[in-house]
Amino acid sequence: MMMKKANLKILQIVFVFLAVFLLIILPNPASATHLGPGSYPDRSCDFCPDADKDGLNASCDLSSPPPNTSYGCGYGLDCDDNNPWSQSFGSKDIASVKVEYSPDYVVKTQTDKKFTPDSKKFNPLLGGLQVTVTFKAKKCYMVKHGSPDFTPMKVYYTTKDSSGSEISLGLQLLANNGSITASDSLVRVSDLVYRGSIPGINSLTSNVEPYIASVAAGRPVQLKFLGSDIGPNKDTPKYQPLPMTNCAQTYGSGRHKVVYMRSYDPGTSLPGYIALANQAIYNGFNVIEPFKKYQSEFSHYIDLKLQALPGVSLSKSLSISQLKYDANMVRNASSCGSKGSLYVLFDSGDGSSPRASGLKNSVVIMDGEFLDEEEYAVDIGPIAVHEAGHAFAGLMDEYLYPNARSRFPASLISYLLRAVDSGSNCSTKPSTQYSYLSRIYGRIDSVPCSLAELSKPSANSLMMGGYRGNENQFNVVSCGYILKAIKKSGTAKSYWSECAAMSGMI
Amino acid sequence: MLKTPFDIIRAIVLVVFLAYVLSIVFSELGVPMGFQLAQVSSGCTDSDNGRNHFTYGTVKSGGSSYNDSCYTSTYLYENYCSSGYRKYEYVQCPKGCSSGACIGSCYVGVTLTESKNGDSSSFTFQSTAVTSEDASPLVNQFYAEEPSPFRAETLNSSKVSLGKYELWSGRFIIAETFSNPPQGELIELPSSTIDLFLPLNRNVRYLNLYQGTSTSPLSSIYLDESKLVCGVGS
Repeated sequence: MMMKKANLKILQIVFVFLAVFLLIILPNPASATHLGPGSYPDRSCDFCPDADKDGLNASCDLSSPPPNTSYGCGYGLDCDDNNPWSQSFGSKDIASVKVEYSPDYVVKTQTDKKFTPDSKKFNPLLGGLQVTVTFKAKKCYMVKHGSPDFTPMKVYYTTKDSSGSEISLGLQLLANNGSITASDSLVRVSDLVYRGSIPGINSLTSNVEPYIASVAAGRPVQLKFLGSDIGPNKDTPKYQPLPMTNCAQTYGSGRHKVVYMRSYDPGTSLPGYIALANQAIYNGFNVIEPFKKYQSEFSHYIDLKLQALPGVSLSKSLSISQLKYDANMVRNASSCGSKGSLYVLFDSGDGSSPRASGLKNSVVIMDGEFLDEEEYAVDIGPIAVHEAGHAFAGLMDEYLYPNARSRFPASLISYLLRAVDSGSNCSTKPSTQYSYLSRIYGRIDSVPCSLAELSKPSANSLMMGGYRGNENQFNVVSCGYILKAIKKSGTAKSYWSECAAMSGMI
Repeated sequence: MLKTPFDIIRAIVLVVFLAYVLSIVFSELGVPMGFQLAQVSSGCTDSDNGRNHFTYGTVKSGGSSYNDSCYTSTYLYENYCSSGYRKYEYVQCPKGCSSGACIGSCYVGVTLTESKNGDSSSFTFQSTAVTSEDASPLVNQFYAEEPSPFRAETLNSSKVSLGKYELWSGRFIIAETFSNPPQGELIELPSSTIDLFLPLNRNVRYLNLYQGTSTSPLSSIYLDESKLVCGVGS
């Protein structure tokens, strides 16, 4: 009630104020100026437009009455014909820049790589970009000739190194006189808007590492537009920040993220690392069942950052049995976030091609030099999928660990046997554990499976590792555990009939 | 229309005046305007426990009830309590708004430290982190017929089970070469860190950890509901 009274009082005061203002002040003819026949305002040339924002206004024409609101401004150019900057677009005339993936690149990626690139997340391996440049105002040359003139302008990918020095990669964007070159020029959308494509960073240099390091350190990567100086007139650069990430989506858009990472000795090339990741995708996950059938459930990302993970590394000074790693450390170090379903870290090894995985801990470490070792000359794709069998689906090796009970701690054997009892490709009771709805889905007479006393569902399979010969297929039992991990519901056994019906399955 | 500076002044005065009158009228009618206008209240309760944008809730304050609602198909009108007062905000939902909540689910990541304990492991609680990102690929339902080596179970305040999830050790690693014959090693680490992802259920209060199908928990963790707030962008 008190509030209402206070509000009403304020309302009354405002009404009085408004009434006084409207009735006394505004209607005073002496204080009003308006245009009308025989009454021309005293206008200065300041009211004439400066359409090109060069500081020079259109000429005034005070000799005749203004026809309307043009205030008698002349039709002459509002610029200095003798100043080249009044004639041509330069980088200082850019009002805004929009950067996105080019439509061609988007379509090609959707077709070939099965995902739509996100223009909010560029990466140093980015494909073709489309830039749309909007200039501030028309130029005299356009008024005279109806087409634009451009100063020779370059666009650079620019960033800074750790010492603060600028690193730039440039390409010619516009030639003089607005002539358009074949692939990397802007074309007119409207008087003030021009659009064109520019290649990605990796198309301009074989060394994108400085850009990757910059992104990893959180330093900005920008597009820099710079026109030429004209006589004493300096152009000023226009910077357009690019939203960058080192997490480069490379195939698929499924909910299970597979993230490839690298932690290399110096000297291993980025192309070599990318080749390893691509082998895992195209010679592994995309061709080996049941990952092949369910490839739409996966998306693959290449983390470009060069990781430094002490304690995780397959160091040359360590033997395989001394390996230590923390899966969580790998996940949390990733540029792709910690919620991936599988992380494959390529590390530098001792040339004996070690790799390590935890059962269902989502992290695989592989010797990245493996590919370079000619003596092995094997495809890393199936090996990555074998390791995914451990880390993604909890599968065990189907070859024998010799003298396991004497070599390994009792707690380790105990855990392994608990995992087996839980349901696994290895089994203590194959006749019952490989059975579902009155059908047996694996052999019941084939040993060993990690430990001498354990059985495996088939004599050979991809989980046989180096013993597999050329067999790059899973057996039906293992397939069920992989589908359980992919689908996130149901038991492994409930998928065995589906697996048995798949081609490419043992 | 506005030919002279006086026209402009007159227009500004009118607009300001009308805005003022409207604000008084809306205020008297109880219609909210702008953000973060506090509602005077001596007490405040929120059925969805704070700024939980993915959960519908009702705030009761000063004898009135305020329901979370969809302001548009993409904006949520979220009511919550702060320092004993009803507050509200408009939030843009990434996947749209429906039935008074943003569309989507939330997950809680529970970070555990696993340590060797005889032939088994013990688990100690480190922290929780709530996320509105889709963490469903990391959630493993527990099936008694195929029990994982460990199991996590969420319970409400009455210790009634809300869900069972697989828990695998992070201490055991298979290291191998692909030579012929392959050399396989089993490595046991003394400890590891595990991030366990679970669907965020607003009633969850306890997380119990068990070995396999055992009914005796290895450890029981109380989950503080004030740390389980899930908003857009978390």
